[in-house]
Amino acid sequence: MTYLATWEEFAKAAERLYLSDPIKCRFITKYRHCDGKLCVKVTDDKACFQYRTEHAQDVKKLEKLTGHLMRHMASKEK
Amino acid sequence: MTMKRYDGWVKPKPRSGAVSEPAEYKCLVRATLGNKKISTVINHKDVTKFQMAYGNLLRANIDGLKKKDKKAARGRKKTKATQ
Repeated sequence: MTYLATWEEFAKAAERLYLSDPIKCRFITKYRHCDGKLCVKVTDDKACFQYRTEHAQDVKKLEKLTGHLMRHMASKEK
Repeated sequence: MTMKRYDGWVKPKPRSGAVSEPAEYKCLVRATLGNKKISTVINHKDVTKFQMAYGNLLRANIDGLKKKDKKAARGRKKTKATQ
């Protein structure tokens, strides 16, 4: 349950956690419009990293990371 | 929105460990709102299509966040004009 301070830290941690055990890792995105907050979480039920933002420029970065992970999840390699 | 890797198993894996590796992984995507749930499985060939649709959805709907850069730039311009 750790909130990371910057997006770069979160992206790095998320990728490392995912690559350590791809089949166990899940990636959760939550958006609350009324609070104006976006919350991203990545966990494998042992370790958990979270990131919270209120800034619009993080949406683009989120899109990039999501696409990157999704591409890997649906790929043939292990 | 939750996404995770999906190998087609819906039962717990047998403890003997005699499971053959799946030839291809897929991506399982679930989305919930209140008590409504939807889910889908994305194949390798559909990733690009899904990504484009999902990217558009994100950009179109996450519009309640602060636009920090624009506001700061406008503020700076205004102070310059008054000087």
